[in-house]
Amino acid sequence: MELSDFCNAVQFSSFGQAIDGSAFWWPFIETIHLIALVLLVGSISAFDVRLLGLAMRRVPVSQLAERLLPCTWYAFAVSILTGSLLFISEAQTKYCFNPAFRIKLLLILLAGINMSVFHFTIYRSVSKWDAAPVTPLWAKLVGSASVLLWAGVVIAGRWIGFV
Amino acid sequence: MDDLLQWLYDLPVSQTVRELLWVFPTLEWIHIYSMVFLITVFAALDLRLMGFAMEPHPRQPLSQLAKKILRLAWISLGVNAVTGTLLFMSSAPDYYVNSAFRIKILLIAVGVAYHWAVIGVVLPMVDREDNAAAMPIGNKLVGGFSLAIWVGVIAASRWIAFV
Repeated sequence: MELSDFCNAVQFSSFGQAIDGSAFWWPFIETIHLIALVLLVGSISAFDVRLLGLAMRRVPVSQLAERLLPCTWYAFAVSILTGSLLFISEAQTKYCFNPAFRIKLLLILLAGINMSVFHFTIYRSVSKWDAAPVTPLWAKLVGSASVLLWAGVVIAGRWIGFV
Repeated sequence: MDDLLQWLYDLPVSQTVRELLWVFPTLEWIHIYSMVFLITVFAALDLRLMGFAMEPHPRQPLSQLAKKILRLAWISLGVNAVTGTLLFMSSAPDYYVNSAFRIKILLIAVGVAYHWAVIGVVLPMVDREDNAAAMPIGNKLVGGFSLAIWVGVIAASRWIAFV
């Protein structure tokens, strides 16, 4: 099946049409998507500024991670769910072939890879620098990349309607 | 009023925002990215007041948390006021009569006044509960009301394009 066949199929399914044609559901889902985005980017940014040593320097890194991560994961799940619903409603005509949308997905993927690399390599040795106000260089690099990638996600998301 | 709106609409800066393709989405991006920080900060404080997050930590008493993070909220609010005004000016007459936009502005006014007044009054009074995990019902209501207002602000802004 071609990509556009798939997009046509989901967009013109009765479900896709129900969202697209509704003056209530579209803005309602978008509202939830945006609230989830606030919690997602907000919680990630809070962790990033600690990695960069800009704030909360006395809070142990592992403790901050433990407290923020549940919020991040729930918000991510809600973003994916609501984002999929929005995608379905205009898959073919608005999203699938929209360069801003494609860049947004790519940036989310890169942010995920960045986070995984951090978690499975640098974070393994967190006990050595947990309480240190100044984090190792690698942690700072990951934190900067994360800030830039998520800012990029928000930029690309805003641009979808303009290309 | 119509004259004032038309005058704003006709200003060269408003024309620039309308006519240069990249200016509107750029301002919108800054507006949303800054909103993430504004609402994350308010939500963090509200959730702490409600006893749902950041339970006592020797270094995170309620009053200290407020002192540390509210500054970021006021900076974000300033950025949002500037970008929001520019976006408004680009089609002032349309925004002015949009009911979702009016509700949004009203909710922001209430939310900001509420943080200044009520939370400013509540926080100095909570010394006793500064380190407590369980908050009294009064604090929970104060936090819950604020959270509801900011969720309303996001919902109202999403609805601007749909009324």
